[in-house]
Amino acid sequence: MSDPLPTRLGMLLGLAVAAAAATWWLAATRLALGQAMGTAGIAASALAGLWLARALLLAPFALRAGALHGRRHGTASSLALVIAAWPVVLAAASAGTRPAMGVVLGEIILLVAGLVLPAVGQGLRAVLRSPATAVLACTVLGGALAAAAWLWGNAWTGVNG
Amino acid sequence: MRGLGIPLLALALSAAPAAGAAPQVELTPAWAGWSRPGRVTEVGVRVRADAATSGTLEIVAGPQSVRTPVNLAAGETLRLEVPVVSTAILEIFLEVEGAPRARREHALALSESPLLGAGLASGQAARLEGFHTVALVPADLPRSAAAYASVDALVLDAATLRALDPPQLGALIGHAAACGRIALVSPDPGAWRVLEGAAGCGARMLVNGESVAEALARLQGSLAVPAASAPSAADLAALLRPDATAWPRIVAVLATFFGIAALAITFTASPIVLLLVPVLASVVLVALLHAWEPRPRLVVWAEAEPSARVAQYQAWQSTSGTVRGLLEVPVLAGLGPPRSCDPQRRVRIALDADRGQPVHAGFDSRLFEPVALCYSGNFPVMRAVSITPLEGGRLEVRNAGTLAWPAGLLAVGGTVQDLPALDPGASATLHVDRGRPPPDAAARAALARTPYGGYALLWPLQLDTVPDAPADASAWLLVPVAEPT
Repeated sequence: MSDPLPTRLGMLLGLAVAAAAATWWLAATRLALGQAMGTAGIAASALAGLWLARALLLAPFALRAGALHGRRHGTASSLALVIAAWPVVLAAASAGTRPAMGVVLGEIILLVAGLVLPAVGQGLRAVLRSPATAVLACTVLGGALAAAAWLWGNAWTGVNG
Repeated sequence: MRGLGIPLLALALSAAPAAGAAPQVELTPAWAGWSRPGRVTEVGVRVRADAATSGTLEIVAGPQSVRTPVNLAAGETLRLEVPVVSTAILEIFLEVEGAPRARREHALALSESPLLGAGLASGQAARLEGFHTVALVPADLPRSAAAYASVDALVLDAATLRALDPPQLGALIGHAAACGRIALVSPDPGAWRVLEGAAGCGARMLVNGESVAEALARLQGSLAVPAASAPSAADLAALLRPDATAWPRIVAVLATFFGIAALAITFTASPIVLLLVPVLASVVLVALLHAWEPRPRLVVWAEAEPSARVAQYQAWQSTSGTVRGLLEVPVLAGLGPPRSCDPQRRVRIALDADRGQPVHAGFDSRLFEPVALCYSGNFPVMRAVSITPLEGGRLEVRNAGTLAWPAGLLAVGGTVQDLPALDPGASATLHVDRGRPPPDAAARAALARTPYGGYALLWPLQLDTVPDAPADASAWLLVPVAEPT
């Protein structure tokens, strides 16, 4: 591997998001257990937040990684960002009532995005020829995709509670 | 009516075994099909097969279902008496090998008014103001004390009493012990002695009369005596905190994962290794979640009036799930019929057809989610308590009975203090102002159940009659004393 940095960075980002979500989820769950309250809603919120945070990060990160480091390294780093949270996703899904298929589908969407977006970033760099312009374009496109993910995520949460 | 041998429901379910004969299923609710919404009633189930039959019978009453295997030889009959939650519709499913699942429904008559069960062989009318009267024959009476929850008062004459079979008599005695309102018309002296000796609440809810009118008048008079309020889960919230053993385990597993992942990032740049760490951690987590055994808890809380011969108990058997899916909770023998503590919660109770006893209860559960089975009943006890206030803020607590007391706690004035073991006739003098704050959840629960301005004595109990009780089960007997005795 000539450029291991993006994979480490992706993994670090994924772990940071997962650790923040796990801390909030476990603390809130402990409080709920102490007061004999339900924990399913907390787990559902943790799952939704974890998915949304990774989606928001993934769009600009994967596009830029593809543009800067190529499709291969970009894909590895994007997948690391997604997969790093899986243990937390699994634990929260075990504590929630959200259908397992919905959780799996959400992860598949992130994985597909992690595979496709670096290739798009690499393609943009090839089309625009200038790395600086390509990175700027990837940042703008990633921001737009993140905004779309945010709006879609809020709409999804509104519909599904 | 049961006694006339005419089942309310006779189902010739079309599920035919190989020989082609359809098993006959008869469902006969107790109390002539009457009950109150959400209470417990009993259904008699009879399955008769003309050919060898193997399958499963399931009775669904709202969120509760009772399931039992059916394995019958040709000409054999299966008889069960099953306590169920009273719902407007009972659904019966029969699955027989080689045949599609057959489904039938049966309606219960649910009364919003209090129910008066009248088992009068003379056929005399019985009326009690505000009650709806249900005429009963002996076979309408249930064989489970829990099913007496369906009626609010009962009037029986001697002929009906004599016609009861031993299980029905046992259930009636259990109902009397649970402070059920019962009026007996000209009862045989022996029967009266047995019931009066077993009756709870100082037998204030058990009356008799020489005529139906007299018995009903006394029953009407007994309505002025408030029924004893059983402790609720809210009263004992401090004792019934759900077990949280899964939480530190999850914290430990996730902390370990984050630690290993941080080390991996530090010491390796291989994308394969970095991607494998969370995947392997996920696999390990799933395996651990399935391997962790839920830790069951059992809390039994009993209460008895001073000098009462019967104590009423409530038991909570709780556990927490570790994975999403069916969580099977073993039913503890010796505590009575189980029910879900949350009446809205779906529970599937598996019944051993040979013994007619529940074996385990299945709940849909998930990680951290507590599930609980509730039991209630009574047991004989004798704690004759005498409390006399003395000068100088002192109290004399005397064992006025014939059995020794173990050491316990006295709750008074919002504090507790140790009560030494007392032999029969012995007494202890305690200072009211030397109490201390409750040291544990049981003492806090005792204070919550202490009558205002009164006292309460709390003793730990041994769970010898529950052989499969969890190791850390706890049981308590509280004797509230409203005023000096």
